[in-house]
Amino acid sequence: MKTVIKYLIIILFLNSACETVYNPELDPVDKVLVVDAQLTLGNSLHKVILRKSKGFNEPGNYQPVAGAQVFIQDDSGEEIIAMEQEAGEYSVHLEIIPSRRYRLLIYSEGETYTSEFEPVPEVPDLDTLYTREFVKWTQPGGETNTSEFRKEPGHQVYIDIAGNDHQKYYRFSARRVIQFYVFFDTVMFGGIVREIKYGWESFGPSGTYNIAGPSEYGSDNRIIQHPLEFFPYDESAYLDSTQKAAGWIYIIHQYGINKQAWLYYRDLVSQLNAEGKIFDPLYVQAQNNITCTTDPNKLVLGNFEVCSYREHRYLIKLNDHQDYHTIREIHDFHDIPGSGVINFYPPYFWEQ
Amino acid sequence: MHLKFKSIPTVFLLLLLLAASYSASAQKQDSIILNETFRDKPLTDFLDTLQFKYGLRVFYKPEWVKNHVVDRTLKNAPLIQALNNLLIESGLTFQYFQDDGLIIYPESTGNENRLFEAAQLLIIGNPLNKGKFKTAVLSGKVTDGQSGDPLAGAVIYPSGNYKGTTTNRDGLFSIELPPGDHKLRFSFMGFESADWNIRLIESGYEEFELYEESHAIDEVTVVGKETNLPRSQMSMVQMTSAEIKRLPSLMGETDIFKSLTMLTGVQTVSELSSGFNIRGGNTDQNLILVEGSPVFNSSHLFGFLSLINPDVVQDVRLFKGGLPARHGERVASVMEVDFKDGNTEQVQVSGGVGIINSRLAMEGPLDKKKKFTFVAGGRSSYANWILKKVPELNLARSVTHFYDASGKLTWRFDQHNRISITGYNSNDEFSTSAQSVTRYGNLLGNAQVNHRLAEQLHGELDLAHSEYAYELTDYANNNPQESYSLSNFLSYSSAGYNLRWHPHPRHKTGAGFKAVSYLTEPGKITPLEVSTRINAKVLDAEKAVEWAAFLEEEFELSQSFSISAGMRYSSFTRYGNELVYLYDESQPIHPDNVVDSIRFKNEAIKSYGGFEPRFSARYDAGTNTILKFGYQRVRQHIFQLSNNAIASPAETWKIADYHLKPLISDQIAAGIENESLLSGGMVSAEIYYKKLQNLIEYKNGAKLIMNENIETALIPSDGYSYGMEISIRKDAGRLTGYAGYTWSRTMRRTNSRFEQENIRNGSYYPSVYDKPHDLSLNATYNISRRWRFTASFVYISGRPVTLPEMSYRYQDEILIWYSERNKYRMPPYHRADVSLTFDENLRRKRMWKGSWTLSVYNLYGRQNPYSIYYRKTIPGVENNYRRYSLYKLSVIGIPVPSITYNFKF
Repeated sequence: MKTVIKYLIIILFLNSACETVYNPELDPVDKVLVVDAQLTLGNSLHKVILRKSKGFNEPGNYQPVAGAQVFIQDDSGEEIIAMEQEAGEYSVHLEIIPSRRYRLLIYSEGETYTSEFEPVPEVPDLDTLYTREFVKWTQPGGETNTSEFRKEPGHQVYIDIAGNDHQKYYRFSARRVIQFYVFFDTVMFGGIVREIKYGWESFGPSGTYNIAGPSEYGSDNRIIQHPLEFFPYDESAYLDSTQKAAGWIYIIHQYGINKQAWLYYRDLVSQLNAEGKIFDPLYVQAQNNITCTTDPNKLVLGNFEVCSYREHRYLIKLNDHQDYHTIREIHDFHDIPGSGVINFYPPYFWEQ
Repeated sequence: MHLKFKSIPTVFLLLLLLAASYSASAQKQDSIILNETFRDKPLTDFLDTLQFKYGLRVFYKPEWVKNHVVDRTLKNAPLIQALNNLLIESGLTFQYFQDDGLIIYPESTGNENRLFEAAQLLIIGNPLNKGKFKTAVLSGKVTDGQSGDPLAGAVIYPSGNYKGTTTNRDGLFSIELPPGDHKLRFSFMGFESADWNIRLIESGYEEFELYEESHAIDEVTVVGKETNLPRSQMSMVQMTSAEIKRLPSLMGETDIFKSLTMLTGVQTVSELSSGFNIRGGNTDQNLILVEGSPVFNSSHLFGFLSLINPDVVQDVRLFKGGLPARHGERVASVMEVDFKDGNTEQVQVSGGVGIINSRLAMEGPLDKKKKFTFVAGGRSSYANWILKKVPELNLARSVTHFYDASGKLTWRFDQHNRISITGYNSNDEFSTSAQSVTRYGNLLGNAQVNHRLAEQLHGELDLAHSEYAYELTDYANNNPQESYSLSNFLSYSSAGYNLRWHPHPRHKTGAGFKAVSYLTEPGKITPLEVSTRINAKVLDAEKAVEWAAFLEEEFELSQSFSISAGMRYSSFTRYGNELVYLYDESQPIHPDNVVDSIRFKNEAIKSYGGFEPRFSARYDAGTNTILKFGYQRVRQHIFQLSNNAIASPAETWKIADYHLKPLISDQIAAGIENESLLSGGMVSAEIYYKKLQNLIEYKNGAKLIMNENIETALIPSDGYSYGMEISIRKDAGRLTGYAGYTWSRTMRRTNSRFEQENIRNGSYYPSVYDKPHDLSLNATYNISRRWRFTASFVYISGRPVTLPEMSYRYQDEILIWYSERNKYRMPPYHRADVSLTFDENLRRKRMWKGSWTLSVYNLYGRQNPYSIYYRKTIPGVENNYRRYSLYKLSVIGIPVPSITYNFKF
C-alpha cells in the first residue's frame, strides 16, 4: 500500500484582503432637480426644499433651486402656494386633513413637475418598547479602519406595534441625550466640598433610514421585535474621563408613512447598505413618486411624502455589573437643548 | 539455476557456441505464449516463472539481474516478444539454446549502435508467423511510467502514410497496420514523447510507458482529445497535469477551475466567485458533468474551491464550442469530469492536509481477478480563519464549512465491456452574524454501462441523477416568532444511450438519445417555531421533461480534409398542476395587469422543440498547418435566477415555462493551428461569433425569491459575443510554457415592447462578463532534472460595473443616482505568481519520495478589485471629507507565499 500525504505550510498570510477608497473618473452629467418635500399631519408649517444634484466627484454644496413656483394641491381641488423663505426653501401653512390626499406641483426652469396624490397615514403608536442584552460588532477605528473588529455588549431596543388594517408602514428617527455627572471640588465655608455638575450631550440616530413594515412572510400586519437603537454598557465613547454617565434620554420620532414612501426608503436603504456584500448585488435605483410632465424623459430625484407623527421618550440606564436596568417611559416632553452643563443642580428635564 | 562464469569473454565464447545451435533447436521457446502480470517485481520473479511454470532452463548471473524490476502485463505475448520488450530497458539481452534453454547476459559495450537499435525494437508476434498476415492490429495501453495510471488522450502516430490514433479513457488503443517494421511516436501533453521501432508480425498487445518531462507527481489531467472525438474537433481547451501542478496555487490548493481560467476563452470574476464563464457566457450556461451527472453548484466556500476533488479525478475535458451532437442542454460549454476507475493492482491511499481543507482518497481492486475496482475520496474544510481576514464586518463574523464525498465502483468484464457506478455528495454551510445560516448541497448518482455490440460497434448506457438543495435559515434578529427557513430544490434525472460505429477507418458514426426529467421546488417558507407569525408557504413544484436524439457522422474525405456533421433534436415539455396568469398585452407584464388565468391539471403546459445542427471541418493545408471551422446551435431550458453581479450559491434555478422561452445560442467559429512556426510548440488561433436569444434580464429591484409570478420580474433580452483567441504552446525543451490572449466582446440588449422597461433605451450594452482583453502567460524553466522554476501572469480587463454618477441630498442623507447599466469598468485584474520546485528523486525503487515547492501568489501584491460599493464612512482626506464614499474590495491584496512539501511512500 502506498500512502501519499501532503503537507502545506503557510509562511505568511496576514490581512490579505483589503478595502480602499475608490475614486473613479466619471463622465460629466447634467444637474437635475431634487425634491425634498414632507407634509406632516399635525404640523401647520411644512417645507419643500428644492436643490440640484451634482456629479458624484463634483466638490461643493448642492445648489438651491430658487425662483420656482411650488403648490400643494389636495384631491378636492384646493391649492396653496408655498412661499420661498430663502433660496431653495419653500414653506407652506397648511392644516392637513386626514381624509384628503395631497400632491405637489412645481414649476421650475420652464418645466412642470408633479407628484402622485398621496393619502394621509394614521397617527402611529407603539405597543411595547423593550430591550434585550446584545453584543454588537463594531470597528473601533471607524469603517475605513479594517484592522480590528470589536465586540461591544449592551442592550438593543426593540418595539412591537399592534396590527392595524390602515397603518402598516413606519419610519423612525431618534435623538439620544446622554446625561452625565462631573464631580469637582470647591471651597465652601472655608472647607473643600465635593460638588456635582450636571451635563448632557445629544447624538443623532445611528445607521441610515430606519423603516418598519409588515413581515414579508408574516400572517398579519403586526410589527414584532423591530430593532431601533443600540445602547452600549460602556459609554466612554460618548464621554471624557471626568464624566460619569447617568443614563440616556431616548427620544423616538415615529412617522406613519405610505407604502410608496416605504418602498422608496427601502430602495434607499438598499443603496446605502450595499457595502461589501460578498456576492456584489446589483444596484437598486430608487423609484420616487415625482415626474416631469412636460418632459417625461427628464429625471427628477427626491420624493414627496405625506406622513403622520408621534414622539416617544424613554429613560435608559444600563448597568453591566448588575442584573438591573432602568427602562422607563418619560411622559414630560421638555425642550432639551443640544448640550450643556449646569453646576450644583440638575436641569429641569433631568431624569433620575 | 545460475551459471558461474569467471569472466565475460568466457561468457561470450559460450554464447556464441550456444547461439550456433539456436536456429536448429529453438522449438519449445517459440511455442510459449505468456499471460502474466508483474507489478514492480524483481526480474528474477519473471525468470523464475519461465523456469517453473513454462519449463525453461534459464541461466544468468545474479548480479546481472538483481537491480532490475518488471512492471508489465503480458497478454498472449510470445516469449521472444516478452523478452525483447522486458530486457531492452535493463541493458540485458538473451539467447536461446537447445530447445528449452535461455541465457540472460549483459549487452556488449563494444557494439553500441547495434544494441541501441536493438533496444528500441519491439517485436509484436511470433517470428515463426512472419509473412502469414496481410494486416495486423497493434493493441496496447499507454501509461504514466511513474504512477502506472493510464493516459487518456495520448496520441500514437506511425511513420509513413498511416493514420494515427489516440488512447481512450483507460489508456487503451488499437491501430491497424501492415506487418513489418514501423516507427511509432507516442506523445502526451506534458510528457516526453517516445519513439518506438516496432516489428509487427501479427496482431498483438503491448504496453507503453511515457514519463512526465520533469517526473512530477501525478495530478489531475485536463486533456484536449479523446478517441471518440472527430479530428475536426475545435474549441476545446487543454491543459496537462504537469501544467496544472506547476501553476502556483492559491494558498497551496491546486484547483482545476482556477487552472482552466488560464486558458483562452475561460474566465472567472475573481478569486471569490462561483463557477466560470466561457466566451462571455453566464455561469449557468456551463454543463458540468461529473461522470455524466450534471452539477448545479460547482463551488465550495463561495468559490474559493471547486467541488471537484482532484484526488479522484482521472481527466477533464472542456468544450467551449464545437459541441459533439451527443451534448446539449447548456449553451456556453460542456465540461466532462471523469473519475478514476481505481487501481487494478493494489490498494492505494492518498491524501493531503491543507490550510483550508484536508482530503483523503483510496482506490484499488476489490477482487482477486482485479476486475472489480473502486475509488473513494472525501474532503472537509476549516476555512473560517480566512474569512476573519476579510475586512468586511459580515464576512469577518462568518462561519463556513463544507465537506464532499465521492466514490466509484467499476466492473470490467473485459477490455470492451464494463459497468461503473458513481456517487457524489457535497454540503456547504455558512452563516453571517448569527442571524442566518445558509446551507446548500449536491447529490449525484450515475451508472454507466459500456459494451461492445460488434467488432466496431460500441454502446454506452448512461443513467444519471442529480439533486441540488438550498436552504436559508433566518433567525429574524433572534425573534422566534418571525424566524423561518427558505428553501428550494432541484432534481434532474436522465437516461441516455449512445452508439458508436466505426465501419471504416475513414468513417465514424454516432447516434443516441437522452431523456431528462426536471423537478424544481422553487420556494418554500417554513416557520422555525410552533408559535409563529410566519405563514408557511410552498410555491407550486415545476415539472418538465426533455428528450433529445442525435446522429453524427465523421468522414475523412481525403488525407487532408475531414468533416463532422451532426443533428440533434431536443424537445421540452413543461407539465403539471399549475395556475398560469395571462397579462394585458398592451401593458408591461406586471401583477396589476393580469387579465386572465389558465389552470392546468396534470397536463402539458407548454412545449418547445427544435433542431440543433452541428458541423465542423478540418483541412490540412500542409506545412503543419490545420484549418478548422465549426458551427453549432444549442438550446437551454433551465436557468439560474440571480440578482448578483457575481454568481452566488443562493441562486435559484428556473425551468422554461409558459412565458419563459428556451435560451438559444448559435455559434460559428474558425481556427488555425500550426506546429512549425514555433520549434517544439504549437500556435493556434480561433475567432468566434455567438448569438443568444431569450436571455434573462431583471427589472429594477426585481424580486426573485418566493415570487409566484416570476415573469413579472424579468425583461426579455438577447445578446451576442464575438472574439479572437490566440494561444502559443511550447512543450519541448528546457523552457516550456503557454501564452494565451483573448480579445472579445459580450453585449446584451433588452427588447421589451414597452420602452419604460428597457435598459439603456433598448440599445446594446456590455454584459457583466464583457472583458475585452485577457492575457495569460505561463512559463516553466527546467533548471535540471529535479529543479524547475515556474512563473505565470494574467491580465484581464475590468468587468463592466454600474457606478454612482450623481449625488443628491435628501432628508440629511447624501444619496446617489447610478449611471446607465454597466457604463463603467472596474480597474483591470492582473497578477503574477511564481514557484520554485525541487522534484522528487527519480529512482523508481526508492520508497520515500519527496518534493518541495515554494510559491508566491500575487507576487507584487496587486489589489485587484472584487467588488465596488457605496457606503457611509467617516469624512477624511482619503475620501475628500465625504460622509459616503465608493469603496473597492480586494480579496487577495498582498503577496501570499506558501511552501509545500509532498511526499509519498
